[in-house]
Amino acid sequence: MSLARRPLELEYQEASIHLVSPIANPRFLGLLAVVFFTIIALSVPQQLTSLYLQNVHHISIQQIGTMGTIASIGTAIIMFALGNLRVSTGMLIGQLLLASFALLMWQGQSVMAYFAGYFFVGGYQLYRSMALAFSRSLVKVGDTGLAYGLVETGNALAVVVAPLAAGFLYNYRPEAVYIASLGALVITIGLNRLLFHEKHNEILPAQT
Amino acid sequence: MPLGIHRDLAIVAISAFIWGLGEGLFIFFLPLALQMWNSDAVQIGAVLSMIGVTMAVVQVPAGYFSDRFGTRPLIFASLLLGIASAIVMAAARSLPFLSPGYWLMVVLRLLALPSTAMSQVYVVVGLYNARLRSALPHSRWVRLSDRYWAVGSQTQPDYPSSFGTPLDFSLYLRS
Repeated sequence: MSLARRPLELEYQEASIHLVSPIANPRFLGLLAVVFFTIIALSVPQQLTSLYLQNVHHISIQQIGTMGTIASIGTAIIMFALGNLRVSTGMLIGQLLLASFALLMWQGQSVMAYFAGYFFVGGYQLYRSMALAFSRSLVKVGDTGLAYGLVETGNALAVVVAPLAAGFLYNYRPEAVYIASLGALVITIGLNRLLFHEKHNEILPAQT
Repeated sequence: MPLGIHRDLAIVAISAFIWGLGEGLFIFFLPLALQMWNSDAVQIGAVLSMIGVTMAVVQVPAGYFSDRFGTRPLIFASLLLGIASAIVMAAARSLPFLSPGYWLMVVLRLLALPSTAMSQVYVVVGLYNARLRSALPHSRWVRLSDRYWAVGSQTQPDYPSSFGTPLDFSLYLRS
């Protein structure tokens, strides 16, 4: 219950910040940059996992289909259960869930491990939704369309890069996809925490 | 309204559910289908990256036009694109033919309805939701339609184990 009320408080607090055009807003541009790198890190391990499971671990197509179902169930549960978390917490958990996915795909030795990994893939959706919600708090209402467009464009550029990166990594060594993603997520978690730390410092003076 | 959900938001949520239902049936197997057409990992990655190309091209104009003209016309246009993309993908027999349909599908996803993996909340639906002026906080509106897409997309298929050729995949799409 208390978790559900936090976004209300956050939005109220953020309304007190002096908001400028998204393009002239360093905080918003910082968010775009962080989201760009984070989406790459979150996307890379997902792109070719069905190939990896079939070609490397010889998982049947039926089992891969079941994993897809588990991924979607996991996404639904994650979005319903965690969708009301504070934005900063949701973004962190989203990254941790995808890191769990990458770790289980890399180190997992059984179908059950892969099933478990796919359950966590909804962390990607959680992160994206939270990032979009966060971007709204940084702009004026009249700039919402432009802000959403810019954030999704940042996502898009990341989504252009991620499958290609996954393809090259997979060609080099299939496991490299997950190892590289885990390393990148360690960095992006730090970047995201930095973003919220700075924003928190910016909010505090407005409250006093 | 029941549960305090605006009627139009409920309709958007149902749409997201149905869209997730349809997309969940095939999107997960796209890399495997592309592999059947003798594509290597980099080529498969290139096809998948087209979604990003389309997103980059479409998102900002979509936000701008929805601010200027409203969201409903864009949603209808994107639904028509979606129908076209489904037809092209269903008719695909080879990689070059599948790609345009996939591209169209991507445009639809980005213009109108929440979708996958990539995911996500999309510009127009997010704005449409925002303009319904619910008592809900804006960020909650944005996240709500995503959840319904996720519920719909649970219908990942247990792919028939006999699937072995691109034609199988094509027929499967058409079904």
